[in-house]
Amino acid sequence: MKPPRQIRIGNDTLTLQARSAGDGSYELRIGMQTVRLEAGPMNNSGFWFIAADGIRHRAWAAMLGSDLQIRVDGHTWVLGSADPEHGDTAATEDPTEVTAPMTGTVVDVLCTVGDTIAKDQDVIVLNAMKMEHRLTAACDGKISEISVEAGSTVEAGDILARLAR
Amino acid sequence: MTESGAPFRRVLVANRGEIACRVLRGVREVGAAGVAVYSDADQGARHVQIAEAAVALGAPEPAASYLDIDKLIAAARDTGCDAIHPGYGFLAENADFVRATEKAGLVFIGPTVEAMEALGDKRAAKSVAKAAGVPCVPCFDGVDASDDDMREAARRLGFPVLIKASAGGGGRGMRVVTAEADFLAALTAARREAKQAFCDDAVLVERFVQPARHIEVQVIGDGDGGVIALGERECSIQRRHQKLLEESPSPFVSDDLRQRLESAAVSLAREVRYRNAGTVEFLVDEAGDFRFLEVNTRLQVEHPVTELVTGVDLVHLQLWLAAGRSLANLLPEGRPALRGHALEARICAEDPQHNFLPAAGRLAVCVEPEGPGVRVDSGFGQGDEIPAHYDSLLAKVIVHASDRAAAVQRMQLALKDAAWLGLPTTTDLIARVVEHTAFKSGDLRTDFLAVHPELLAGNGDPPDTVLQAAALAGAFHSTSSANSSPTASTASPWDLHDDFRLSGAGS
Repeated sequence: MKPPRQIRIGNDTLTLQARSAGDGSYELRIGMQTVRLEAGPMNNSGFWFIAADGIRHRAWAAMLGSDLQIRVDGHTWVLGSADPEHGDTAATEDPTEVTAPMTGTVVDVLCTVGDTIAKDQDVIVLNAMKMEHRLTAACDGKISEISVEAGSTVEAGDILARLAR
Repeated sequence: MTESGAPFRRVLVANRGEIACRVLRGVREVGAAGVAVYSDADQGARHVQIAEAAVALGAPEPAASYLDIDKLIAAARDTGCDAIHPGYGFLAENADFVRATEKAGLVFIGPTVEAMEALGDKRAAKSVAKAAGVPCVPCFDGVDASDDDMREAARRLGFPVLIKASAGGGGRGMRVVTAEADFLAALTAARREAKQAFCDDAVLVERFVQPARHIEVQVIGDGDGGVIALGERECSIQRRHQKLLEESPSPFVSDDLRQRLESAAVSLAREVRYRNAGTVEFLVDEAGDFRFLEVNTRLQVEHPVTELVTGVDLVHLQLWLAAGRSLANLLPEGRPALRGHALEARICAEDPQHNFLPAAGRLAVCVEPEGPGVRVDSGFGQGDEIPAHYDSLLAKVIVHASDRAAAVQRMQLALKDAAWLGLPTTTDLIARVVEHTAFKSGDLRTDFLAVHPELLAGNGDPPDTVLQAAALAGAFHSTSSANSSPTASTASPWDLHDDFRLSGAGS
């Protein structure tokens, strides 16, 4: 998957573009700004660039779900994608769904359909990577559906329960 | 000893990930052949690649693979092994596994069944400690106790209390309970987690001591009463009762305290005529008073810091001791002097911003640090899939320098130069910890992350250089995209965004 062309910074959406200027330098468009700088690949799958400070910076990038995970000068950032073709994660998060953050086994379901629960209340206990994780409700509501039981194996992203607000 | 002068001819390493790689290297260094085992989720894993032989165990679930005693014994027999090394975790402290190994005529590279049972079980270990005159954290052992008995005992100990799996380790089956109202729910959860992780739901409850430091002593014994302590490790920087950053020596431990800790650990190990590497864990309070916590009758995750400051190879020692050599023969000078300072950072596929939720997936970028005084023990490389079935440890970055300040600087640079991407990791968090003034001044405690919550915050708004790198990522993304197919990832590294064409790159 290609890195997103649009990322979210706070409430803003920023468009990112890069093109080679042909002489070892690149022209970058970051939102309304245009920057020209020297850059090139490294043989360890990263790349380098010389920023306005005159310093050679090293970076690596990977996709983390639909977001861009980028490591520059020893710090890692996750930039949310606002790219329609990647799926805008902010737009797809539904607080009435309790989803599995990763593959695992349900060890306990703490509510039944019809229960009134509060935001942050534990709904499901999931065992993943040998640890128990408590999955909580993202909003107040009433449990309208529970699609798993103790022992169910679930995949990352599976909807395990739904709430009605 | 074999005719070739190796302690064993062929050793099965009943583990996976970084520790299987570490042990396989040790096995091969002493002249034996190494046999790996792997589940379906670990086909082609690094530990499989570096072994002289490898045996498939089957389905990824630990119970069907790395915890299946019959399969492991059969694998050892079928490949002509004469010994089994358990690594840590999985069956490393399972006495039934030791029995099965010995029954099959193989040597278990670890303690005897008796010593393991006397020390490996947290309840039993406390009575050994008491017999050896070592002070213990006040606790209720919970033998045959009902849930109400446990709650009553917790009330007598005084909240907060810590519920712990008797067979436990690695933070699993462990719960801190601050109020009586929460006790029964926590007890149920701890039992369930213990049952799942160790096939044993026995738990004990002890007083939760805080602030405290976690300081442990590495011991090594030959089973004939020879026991040597190899200094201490401080492992106070933890998340979820699991260690994150360890060091040796401890910045808190004076020569006098070290002598007392070592002597307590040695007398405890002597009490059971301990053979093998082992770790005696203590909680140490601000006054320097220490209380025994538990013994780990195996190699520890953090063993490399001890190796770096003592110059011994603990895996070699384990192998030779299991083959019957004495400590007088292996370490005739006794305890080596401690040289310099070592730190170990655990790089785990976990998200510190989301309560350390572990993540599985493809390790899209893996750049390990290198240089003088830098050691990396890892089990995965770039492009490897990190399965969801096992623990989240990707690599350990271990540094050694002449003193603590130099070791901290070396760790800062090692982490800065490294990259593990495609998954959230603990890398940045540990980098922030080692740069923190409290850490630098040696002011450590087991709730360090809770006391310094700013360490868990993200990096804030990205500076210009990060946005520039993000824009450039479009130009250089070829091998780093997590979900790309093999064809896509071998496409031109100059594969730019649609709007742009790269001149002169043939695209």
